[in-house]
Amino acid sequence: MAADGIILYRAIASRAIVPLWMLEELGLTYRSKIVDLRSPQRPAGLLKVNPTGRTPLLIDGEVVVSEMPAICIYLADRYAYGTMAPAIDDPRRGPYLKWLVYATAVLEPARETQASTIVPPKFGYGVGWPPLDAVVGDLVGALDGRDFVLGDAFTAADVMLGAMISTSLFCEMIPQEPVLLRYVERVSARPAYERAAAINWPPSLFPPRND
Amino acid sequence: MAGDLVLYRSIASRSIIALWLLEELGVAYRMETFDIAKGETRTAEYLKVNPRGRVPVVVDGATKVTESAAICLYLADRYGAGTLAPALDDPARGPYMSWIVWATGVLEPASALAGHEFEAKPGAWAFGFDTLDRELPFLEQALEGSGHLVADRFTAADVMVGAVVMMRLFTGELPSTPALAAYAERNKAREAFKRAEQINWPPSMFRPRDD
Repeated sequence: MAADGIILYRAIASRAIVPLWMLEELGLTYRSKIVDLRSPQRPAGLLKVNPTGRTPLLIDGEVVVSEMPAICIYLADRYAYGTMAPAIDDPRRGPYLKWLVYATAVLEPARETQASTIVPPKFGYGVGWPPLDAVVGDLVGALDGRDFVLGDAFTAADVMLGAMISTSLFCEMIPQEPVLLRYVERVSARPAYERAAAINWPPSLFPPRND
Repeated sequence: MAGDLVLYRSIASRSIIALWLLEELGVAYRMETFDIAKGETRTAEYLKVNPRGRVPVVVDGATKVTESAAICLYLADRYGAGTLAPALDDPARGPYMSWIVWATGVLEPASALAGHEFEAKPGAWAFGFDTLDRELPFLEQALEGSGHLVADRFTAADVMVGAVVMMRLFTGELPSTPALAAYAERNKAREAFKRAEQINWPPSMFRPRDD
């Protein structure tokens, strides 16, 4: 199946931290192909195979996956079913999928539109996410008193949420809540995260901050 | 408890997505209705089901799922593995999951924010989604050929993306391009959709429009 192995199309210093971290957690062998998001030129054939046209993109043999939560769910089901992905008959499967989807359907748009006032349409569905303070409240509620979002075990949902919360805190897009800071400290101490972060933000380009 | 599948939903809401998928799967389920318009999703009784007061919620035995995309991923794997959800070793599984995640992570925010101007927070991450005119061509391209998103057949990805397309075409939040309009017509003709539509938008409440 995976005759060509796993290929990750990614940009430097990007959301590719998510698939990189997943691949490092799973201990899989993969190759990176670097995409320059500032250039209108995309690697030949990339858009043709890319379902939703976005980066990062993961190719595993015949399987092509885009969208960060989808990449996490795919990899965890394929390579760590029952551990990094709760099995389908595990009661944690529901919340697991919810938090993965929540990361890009709720947390991302809420944090990225926080500085703007969005007038709801007179007739229409409008935005499907609550205000950012409610989102932060959800996250704090889910993580307070727990090591990981589903409890004691680290799962792919922690890769997705951990990366999103970590970048949100770093860029000061969400308040520095102690519960969230401790969670990020916990998940980013993982060797797989450290390897992924060094690949995504090469120290030569991103020297450590002196603050 | 096992085998007890319950959909908590409101009339005339995004619950159409879960309803339609349950009807496509042909699985026995029970429905608990809390009408948003009557404030019933804010009652103590409902807040026990979902402290955020949002619908829909699917409870399946011991697991609880929220977020429409997560509900689709869960239900299709649980009750339609190999049919409405491509199996794990099926190459279609990649784009299948990408499209389901894209529906609420990209299509919904991009359509909700169309026409709005945004002020990005300095130093913040760029939006995780692009403008509609840049995102929609990927959807239209995927629908060329079989008219379904993946695997040349109807899957839960068509429920998730198809429902968002239908809802937002109706409200004018998506442009009625020939490809999207044809996709909506095809989906509306499905028996399972018609049953779900009757439940979500009861004809007694919503007189047919004359146009």
